[in-house]
Amino acid sequence: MDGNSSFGNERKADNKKRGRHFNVRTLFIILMLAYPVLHFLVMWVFVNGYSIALSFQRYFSTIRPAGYDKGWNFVGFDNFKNLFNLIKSDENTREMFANSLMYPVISCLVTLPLSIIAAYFMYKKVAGSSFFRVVFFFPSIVPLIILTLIYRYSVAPDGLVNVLLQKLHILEKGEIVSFLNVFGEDTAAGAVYIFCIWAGIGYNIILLNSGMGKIPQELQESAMLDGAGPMTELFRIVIPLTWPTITTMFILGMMSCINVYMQPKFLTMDKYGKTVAWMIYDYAQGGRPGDLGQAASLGLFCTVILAPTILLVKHFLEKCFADVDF
Amino acid sequence: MKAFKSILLVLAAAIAATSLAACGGDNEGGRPTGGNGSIVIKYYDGGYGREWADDLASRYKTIHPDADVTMEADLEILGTMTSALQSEDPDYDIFISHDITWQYYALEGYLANLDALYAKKLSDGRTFADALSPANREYSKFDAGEGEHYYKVNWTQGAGGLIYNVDMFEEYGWEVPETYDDLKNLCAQIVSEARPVKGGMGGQTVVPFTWTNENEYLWDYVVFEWWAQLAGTEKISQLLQYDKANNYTNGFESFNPDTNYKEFKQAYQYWYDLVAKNPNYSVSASNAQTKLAAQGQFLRGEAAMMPYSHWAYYELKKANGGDDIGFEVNLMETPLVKGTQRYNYLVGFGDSIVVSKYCHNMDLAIDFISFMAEPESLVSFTEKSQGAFSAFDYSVLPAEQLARLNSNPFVASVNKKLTTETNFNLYSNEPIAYLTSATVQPWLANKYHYVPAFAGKGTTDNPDDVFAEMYSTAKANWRSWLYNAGLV
Repeated sequence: MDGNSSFGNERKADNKKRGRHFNVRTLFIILMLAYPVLHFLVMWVFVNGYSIALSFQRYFSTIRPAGYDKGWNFVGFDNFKNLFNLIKSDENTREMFANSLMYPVISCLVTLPLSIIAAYFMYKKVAGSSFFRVVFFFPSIVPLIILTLIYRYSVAPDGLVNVLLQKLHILEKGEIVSFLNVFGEDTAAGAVYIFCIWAGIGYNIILLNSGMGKIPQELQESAMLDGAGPMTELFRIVIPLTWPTITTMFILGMMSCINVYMQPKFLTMDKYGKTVAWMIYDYAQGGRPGDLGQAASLGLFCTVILAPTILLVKHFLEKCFADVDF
Repeated sequence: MKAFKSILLVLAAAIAATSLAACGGDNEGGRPTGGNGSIVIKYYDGGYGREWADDLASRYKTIHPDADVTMEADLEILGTMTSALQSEDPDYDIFISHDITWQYYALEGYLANLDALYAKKLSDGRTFADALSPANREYSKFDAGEGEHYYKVNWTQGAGGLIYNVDMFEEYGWEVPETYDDLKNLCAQIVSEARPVKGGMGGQTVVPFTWTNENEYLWDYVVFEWWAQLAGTEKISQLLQYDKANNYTNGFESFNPDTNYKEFKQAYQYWYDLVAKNPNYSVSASNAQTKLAAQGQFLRGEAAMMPYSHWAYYELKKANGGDDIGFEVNLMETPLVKGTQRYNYLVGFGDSIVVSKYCHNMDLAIDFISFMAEPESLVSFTEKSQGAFSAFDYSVLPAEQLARLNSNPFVASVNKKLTTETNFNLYSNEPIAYLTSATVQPWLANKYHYVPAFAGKGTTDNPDDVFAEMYSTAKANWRSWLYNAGLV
């Protein structure tokens, strides 16, 4: 009897302790999850849900004898029809799409290959790679606004680049490197692309170097013994083994089509190279309700086109090389 | 272990709480100071500096020691204004900025009705409404469904055009041009005389103009005044209604270069012939240089004139490290292209002061805004901003205060333009202008042509092409714009 009672008390105490432990642990888990879940609900579900709903609505205000009648109307696909009309008739809208489409091309077909080559040289620790590591990484650690300011002032007519080339008599006095001119209507877009390549390489190298660093040393040694040269090593070993990283960066590069706006905005001081994201930003900033439905429909239209395209590209990229664990 | 877990939990809770707190409000922490009896004002941190605001608040507090008024500058004020006005417990009570879509805010019921402010007596017995010009009063009224009421106060009245280096003009005996032909001759004279830049190197000579791609719109202030001289303000006001009488159906006709925009095109032609076709009249890099570079060239005496506005003196001083700029600068009366009537384009006419409907202390807000119209506040605003005039009537100032203002030659030249010329603006009170973004502007989509025309040395962006393109764009897109404004 005494023994049973003592055992029962111990169990009770144990359960109580476990219960308290469970409560504290549950509370801890809830607290840890609360922020990401709330963040997801507010910043993703609500924002995107609201935006999708907005793309089918339109603000109206009408003067009636009783006063203003105003508010939001459900208009079906009218915002999209209006968007297509603008694409058809408005040169600025077409230019905005063309500018936006150039960024994935630059990111995926220029910046990424250059980054792979630069990262490979650093991975191989060729002479001067430490210096170039700093040169390439520098743009990644400086805030974009500062970086655009440095670039803008450097390529200005009286900036470092032009003055230096004039002093070296490569350029005539007063002459400038026109393709770097962020203030020229015809040259601004190209100058922004060059900036994006310069600023984007460093970030890519960080990710690629991390991927390349995981390649087993034995594989390299084995390739060397088999007589593989640097090109063979790069294309037959390094690229296939870092392919998942390259795929991710390719996808991120494709997404630049709908998320680049700060680079042209800051570099050209709000003048040239408008992109889809910039247009949506302007619409939202302006505080004009007539723009909001149009902005939402523009965003949704781009998502509908881009999301399946990205998934398709991802699917094909993943098929290029077998995934290897090492 | 238990203590460790407790600390971890507290830390986690604190992180979650602070993270979520950061999501709320637009000022990263809620109302800056004060309680419900206070008012907090957010103003645009632009070319007028902050001294005027600090002085205004401090003088008000001297007179009303118990009043709790805070003024906060913000360059990105427009981005957060809508959400701030929607709040029933706003972080800011009063907003002062350019480009406030106040008609929309009034329609949505976000703004306080300011009729009581306009009826309030100032210290000299005039009402607040009397302290404003008729145009300033007219454009502040709106019918948001409850009859016509005042919902905003115009903030500034300004002037723009060409500023010039007075000392240089006097030294070289150059006459300030009265007419467009005089200006043309002056430019030719400056170039032919080839005066060396003082302290310049390599045989550098003074050119007529320096300007910047960054602010090419500053040429508008010259071109718009030529437009008004050619068309008269009545015609301009008419075309800014965008065929309202006919439900805006043919509003695109406002851009017709053969009728409504004929004189605007002609005004641009004057600019084109003078500046674009004569690249040697401007610093060669004008189409590609920053504002700071152009300011530096003007300060170093490399150019005699510069398109600018009433904030020129303040900005030039700032560009000079805050020191006196070392020579006298004046704002030129825009040379006449026709007749003798001079027009002043009111730069910044659309700048507004609005009050949140949920203002924490409406009486204090009204009293504070009315204080901005008091004579001492007018003098202080202009002195501190070194050229900007608030939208109130300065003629009531006692002679000694006016003399105090005019002791700064640049301020005096701005004042002269404001008081002796016929003021006009390009502000439209039609929904097509305030419910959609700036597609309906004198320049469609705010697309300027000064830089490309100059870069092309007068071979591109000629007036015929530019205005034909604007008209065809307006015609093609008009229905889409009306749709976005909810007008069709």
